[in-house]
Amino acid sequence: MLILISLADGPKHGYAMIEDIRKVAGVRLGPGTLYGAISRLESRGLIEALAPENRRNPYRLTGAGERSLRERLRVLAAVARTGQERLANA
Amino acid sequence: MTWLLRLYPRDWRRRYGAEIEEVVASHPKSLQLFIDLLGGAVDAHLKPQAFARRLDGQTADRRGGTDMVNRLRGCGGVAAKTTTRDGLVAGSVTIGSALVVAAIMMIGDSELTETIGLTMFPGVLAVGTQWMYLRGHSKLAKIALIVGMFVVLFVIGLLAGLAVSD
Repeated sequence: MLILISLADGPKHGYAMIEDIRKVAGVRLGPGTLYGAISRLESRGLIEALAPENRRNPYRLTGAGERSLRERLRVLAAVARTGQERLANA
Repeated sequence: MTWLLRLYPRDWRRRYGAEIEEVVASHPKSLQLFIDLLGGAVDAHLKPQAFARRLDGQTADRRGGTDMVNRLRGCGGVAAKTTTRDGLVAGSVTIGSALVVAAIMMIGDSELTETIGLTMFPGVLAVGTQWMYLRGHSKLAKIALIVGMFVVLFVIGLLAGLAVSD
């Protein structure tokens, strides 16, 4: 999901994604982890590679990827809201 | 540390090799990076069907888009696209291997061979998996999983057998 969020504001290549995710979530993904996730997201049609720039391949969200991200964020928001409400009533 | 990329499957390297090399080069060298790349190599070998193609030509949405469904499909051998013939081959190999182990136990006719034989039976089940659940995985992954299981079971059987003999 971090990769999908990273690509939500436009295409990025691997290193840019690592830096963006580090800033947004405070997590520094290793290259092995990142490209394992990229390969899975690509095979599921959630992201796609654009034309290479030098040796770097930028990736962008597909329509399915955007819908999947919206749905995941909606579920996450509902869970967070429930948690907050329960904490408030505790 | 880019030499670790040689551990990745050839097709995977062809697709992502140049990119990941670039990222690794700009990454500070550390034990964490070493472990990350090693883990990535194992992951790439165990999930070869995950990259650069969509299963059954379906989009994520048509499959429901949920990780859980995909995992269940994988557990059932569906993602590996096994056929009835694969099932029959896997079953025959499993039964055949079980008979071989049973024969070894009978011929050996000692507590040691009996104990080793009994502990080897779970390994026999693993032999047939290369036509079912391990279908589509690289040769390296199949050898590591099947031979690895036999080695572990053999060592356990040997230790148990020696304990019984004493």
